Amino acid sequence: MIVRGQGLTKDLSLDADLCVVGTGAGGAMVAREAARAGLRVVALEEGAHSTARDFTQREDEMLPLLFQDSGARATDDGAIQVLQGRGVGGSTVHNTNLCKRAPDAVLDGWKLDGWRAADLVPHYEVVERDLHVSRLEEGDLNRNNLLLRRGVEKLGWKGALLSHNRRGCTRSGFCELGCAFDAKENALKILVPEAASAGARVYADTRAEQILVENGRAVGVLARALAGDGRPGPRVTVRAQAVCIAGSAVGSARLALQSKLPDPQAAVGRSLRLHPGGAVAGIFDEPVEGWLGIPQSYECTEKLRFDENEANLDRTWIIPAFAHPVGLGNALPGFGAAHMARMRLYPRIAIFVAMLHDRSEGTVSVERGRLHIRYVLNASDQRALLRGMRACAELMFAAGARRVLVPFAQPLELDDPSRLQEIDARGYRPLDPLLTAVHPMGTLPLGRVVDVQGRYLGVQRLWVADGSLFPTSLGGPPQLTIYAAAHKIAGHLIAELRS
Amino acid sequence: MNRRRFLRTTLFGGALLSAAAIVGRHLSGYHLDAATAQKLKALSPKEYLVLSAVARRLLAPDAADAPDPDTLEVALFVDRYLYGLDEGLRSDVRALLHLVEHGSGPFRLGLTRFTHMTTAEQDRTLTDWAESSLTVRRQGFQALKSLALLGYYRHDRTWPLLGYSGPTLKRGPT
Repeated sequence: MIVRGQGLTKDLSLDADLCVVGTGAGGAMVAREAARAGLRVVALEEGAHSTARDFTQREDEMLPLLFQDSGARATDDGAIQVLQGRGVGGSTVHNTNLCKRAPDAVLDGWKLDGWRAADLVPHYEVVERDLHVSRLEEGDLNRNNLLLRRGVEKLGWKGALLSHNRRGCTRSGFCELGCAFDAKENALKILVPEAASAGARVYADTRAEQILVENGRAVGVLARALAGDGRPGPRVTVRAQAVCIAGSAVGSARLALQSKLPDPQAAVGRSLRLHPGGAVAGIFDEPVEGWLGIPQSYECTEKLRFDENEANLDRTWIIPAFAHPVGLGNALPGFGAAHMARMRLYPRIAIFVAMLHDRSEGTVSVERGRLHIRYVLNASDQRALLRGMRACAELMFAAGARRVLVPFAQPLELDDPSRLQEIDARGYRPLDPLLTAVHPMGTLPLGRVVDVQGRYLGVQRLWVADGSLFPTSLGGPPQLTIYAAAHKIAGHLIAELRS
Repeated sequence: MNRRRFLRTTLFGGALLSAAAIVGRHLSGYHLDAATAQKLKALSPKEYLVLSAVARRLLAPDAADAPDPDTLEVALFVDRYLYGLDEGLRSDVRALLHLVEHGSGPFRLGLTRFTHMTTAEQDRTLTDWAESSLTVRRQGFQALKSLALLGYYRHDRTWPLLGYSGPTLKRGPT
């Protein structure tokens, strides 16, 4: 059963064995597993329940529908746009279906019992089976991705086709605005309906505001149904034997802080990793038309190493990252007539992005009821990011770009690879260049806020099952690992509730 | 720039901007037709006029075939978009518009409001914001640029300029 909170006209009280907060990759997985195990599950989701017919492929309509803060969420200094999903299915609705296991070196580096690479394999296998993950094929590469591969091959660098969870894909190219053809095998299409079929009650437009704790034990959640314009409506009170938070690295930390949960190590909301990306545009003589076809199907891992050595600056994952007109406009530097002249090059522009396996740690906090995301790139990360952006530019030239644009505040336009060092020479300062983050992680990390079974330390019967668990960046897209981690934690949770 | 100088600059700049915003809210001389004013949901008429002036420069056409932002009602769209944001974000943008209007002149050692500047002065002012040593000004520029771009390139009349084929789901014009 999926209930739209907008339809509620009076306060509501619910009883459950388990209340899950959030219905993205983590929450939907826990809700499905728990419901299938026979538990009475209530899942709360602050965003709407949309389906394929709601996805209009238009940026101005999809930003408010699918993203937190209508796509306007950013770090406090505005330096990093933080794109996070909002709605049933969470970020799995707008992501580009990248399914990549976390590198062994990252998982093993955590040195946490039960979280070594080998321990997660069975959970990855379940996710990959249930969400129909498969390696993309040659014909899935659009021109933007073909250019990345061409650059990789020309330079003799490391690159590969990616795996995705999509079936029946029409290659329309509008993945990041929700799939109008329902080809995403994600939380919205697969897990939430399966949870509902197994008896879970899912409340959309219902924002969790406080975890209820009595005598050191989680006993439920206080929430508010939201009206169509987002204003709070009737109260929804869920009394439950257990609670699982899965509202994302930002949302889960926010809820923990609002609820004033115990935090003896003062670690809640800290150690935020953003996996920020810096984009580089290449202008080609040939048509690229990057908005057509699957947006991200090929990766370059030449500049991605996971050794923890301080001197390691090869910490960026390079992928194509094309956008529709509004998104592209933000990626291109300058304004006015000069900016519009660049926009007219749209069909011949390719974009690669360098996503940083960051070591900088930011914070999520709530002050006077307002959310704050603070994050400052440390010096090592700044150098590593610029090094990755330079690699993007090098790949562009190798692929045949006539010119390369780097979106610094004072636009940097390169016409020859001999000028690549100018990228490093510019240095980094906030908003110069503008960065984007689509993979927030950390904030309730395993080993510090949560134990290795996903239990919140200091509150009984409270679990966490989303990207906030990860003690470090994964260095790649986290969705598959969030699904797998939630599957693992669901097993612990069910066993404990049954006992 | 060393840390001490940065802090001094930031504090000075921040104080100046705050003062400009407070003073600016109480200055008058802004006239918007009643029909448009009635449509506003998030912005005051003055804020709408400042936003319109900023959008005209941020989206200045490079050739005659590009529709101007007023024709596409960019500022009106942004007003509706802001209405959907939470109160904190909405207040930030409104304060930013007052800063641009009254806090830009002092940085150029003048007192001219943004809406009273020539287009060349407005462009220099926006460049100042974009390249400023103060993060808060660069942030302000980026916020306005993002809003203006959303209001303009959302419109299917701009897509032929780009050679963009648009959504595969076809429907009537925007």
